[in-house]
Amino acid sequence: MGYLLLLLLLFFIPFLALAAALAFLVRPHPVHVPIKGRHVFITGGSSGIGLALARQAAVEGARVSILARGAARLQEARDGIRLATGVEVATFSADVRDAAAVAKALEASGPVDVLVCNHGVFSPQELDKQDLEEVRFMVEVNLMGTFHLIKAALPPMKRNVKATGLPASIAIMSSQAGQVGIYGYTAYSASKFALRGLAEALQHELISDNIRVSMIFPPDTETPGYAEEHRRRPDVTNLIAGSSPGMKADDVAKTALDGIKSSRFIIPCNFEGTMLSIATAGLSPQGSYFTALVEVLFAGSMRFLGLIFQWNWFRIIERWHARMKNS
Amino acid sequence: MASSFSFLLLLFVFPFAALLLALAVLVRPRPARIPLKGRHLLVSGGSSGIGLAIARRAAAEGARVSILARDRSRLDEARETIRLATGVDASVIAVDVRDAEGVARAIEALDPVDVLICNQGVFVPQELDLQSLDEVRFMVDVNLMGTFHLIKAALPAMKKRARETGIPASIALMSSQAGQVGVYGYTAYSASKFALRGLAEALQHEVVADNIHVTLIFPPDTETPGLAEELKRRPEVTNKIAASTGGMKADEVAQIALNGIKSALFVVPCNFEGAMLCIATAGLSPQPSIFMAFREVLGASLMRLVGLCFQWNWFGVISDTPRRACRAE
Repeated sequence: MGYLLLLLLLFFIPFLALAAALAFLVRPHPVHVPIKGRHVFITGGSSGIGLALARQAAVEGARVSILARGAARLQEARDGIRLATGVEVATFSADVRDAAAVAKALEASGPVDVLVCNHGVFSPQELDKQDLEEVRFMVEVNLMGTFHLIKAALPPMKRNVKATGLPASIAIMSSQAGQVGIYGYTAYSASKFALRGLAEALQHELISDNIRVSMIFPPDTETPGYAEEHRRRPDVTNLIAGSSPGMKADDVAKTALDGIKSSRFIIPCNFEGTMLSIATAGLSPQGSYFTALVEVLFAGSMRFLGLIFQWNWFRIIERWHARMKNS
Repeated sequence: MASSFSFLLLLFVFPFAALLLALAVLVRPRPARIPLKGRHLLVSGGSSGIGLAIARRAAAEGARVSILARDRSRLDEARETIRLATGVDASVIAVDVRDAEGVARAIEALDPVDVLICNQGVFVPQELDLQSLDEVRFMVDVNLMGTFHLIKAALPAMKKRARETGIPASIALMSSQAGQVGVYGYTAYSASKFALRGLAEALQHEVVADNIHVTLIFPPDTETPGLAEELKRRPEVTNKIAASTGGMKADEVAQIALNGIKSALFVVPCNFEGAMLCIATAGLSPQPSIFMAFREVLGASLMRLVGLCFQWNWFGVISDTPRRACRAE
């Protein structure tokens, strides 16, 4: 009986020691980022995940601005939100690739408390077949567009934080394709992986200004953007990524908003996403000691699982090529 | 007594052996060797620093070497250096990697490339709120778009050649430890280098059937003219953080890089801290090496813990270091 107790203790002590160490280590300390009554600015906000985010933020009492390229879609979005929630959102028409237009829009909108860089384009294709124009398009919109937004929003955001004492947030919509690159996604994954490097460095630079950086990693989501992409997807990409969207835009938006309010650095959107986030935690900051505990405990098994996935993907690729050669 | 001891030993060894066996079956792409001797190696950013060291070593190993860079006079100097050191006459291409058409013309005029080393890179560390968007764009255009231009230009002939000769080819991308973790001052540089990983993972899927292997190299701060330039501008906080990992000499990095390319590794760390970083950031990358996969699976948990310690340390440094005042925009 005594031995059993000793064994139990021997097992739990390192576990408790680890949990205690992590509670001490995790940085940055989590804060609550309120959105009620604050200015939430969402790009790509006239459709898909962005529109869902705008609607939900409006319902929670935020002052919402949406930015997109097309004035007509912006109008529709504004009307839709008004009908659904009674809230009037501000609309701004600009192409995120145009730094000056972005700066103008942000000046007109006033200081932003929660900037959601949600805009994105995706054209999956094998790199040797893809036009460099399309590659450039994805990098310009997804990556440079995000730089433009952050540069323009930062100075007034910092001033507002100092004035109100409330933490602000810069949230960046990435993708599971920003955690692992797969067949057909050279340009898109490049642009989304880049956002992570940006976010990790940015959090270092803004922590002293009480601004929190969040990254959201949705799977394929039922949006107009997805429908567009799906038409173009190479066969192999479909075989690897599956042919149906994983989640609905509203569910992604809810998870995203919850994560932003909790100042989480990494926000996965479903169970597979959580496993992916553990596998790709890398050297990212982690404010939640519980999540850190899960990451440390499961890192090894998630890597093993990841290797199994790659084994399966390479098999799929091999078989597809063999079929092509035979036909 | 001896039998129960050996039984315990077996019980302990068994899971490790089982893991090794499983990994031996699982690792992809399948391991390969990329020969350099007599083959055409093209290295961008090849007129100085790591690129020049790679060109020199490859020439010494019997490769046909081409070096690509912007500045014609530096290229000529580099060609002289290589000739003096190895007796080999390297070809030189003067072109800016940002010029897609220039790169395409230049590469199409060459023999098919067997080993493409996208090594060009610029780095200007600065807090994003102080940095000009032009500098951000500069780093993204050179480090990321430049690499896309090189790969697009070299791929068709590379595939054809690999098919004709049956010998594996290689596309190697020079990343950086800043491409494994983003730190203070490196928003644009880390963005451009993280991007290379997404590119590389997807590209390996697309070219594996063509017998082309993709390799990412992750050097730490390396003693090069580029680093000297960077250090002039580096914020104080970045210097303190970067000191966490030791520096290396260009020639050391070049040797390790070439060995990694020849072994068709997907990730190539260059020093001890780099190896730990590679384990921590293995993510869902492919891993052709059974040995490295073994280390990744066993070391992942500890490395995540170590990574969290580093972030604890870094956030401490950041809060302890007084910020210089923001320039008015």
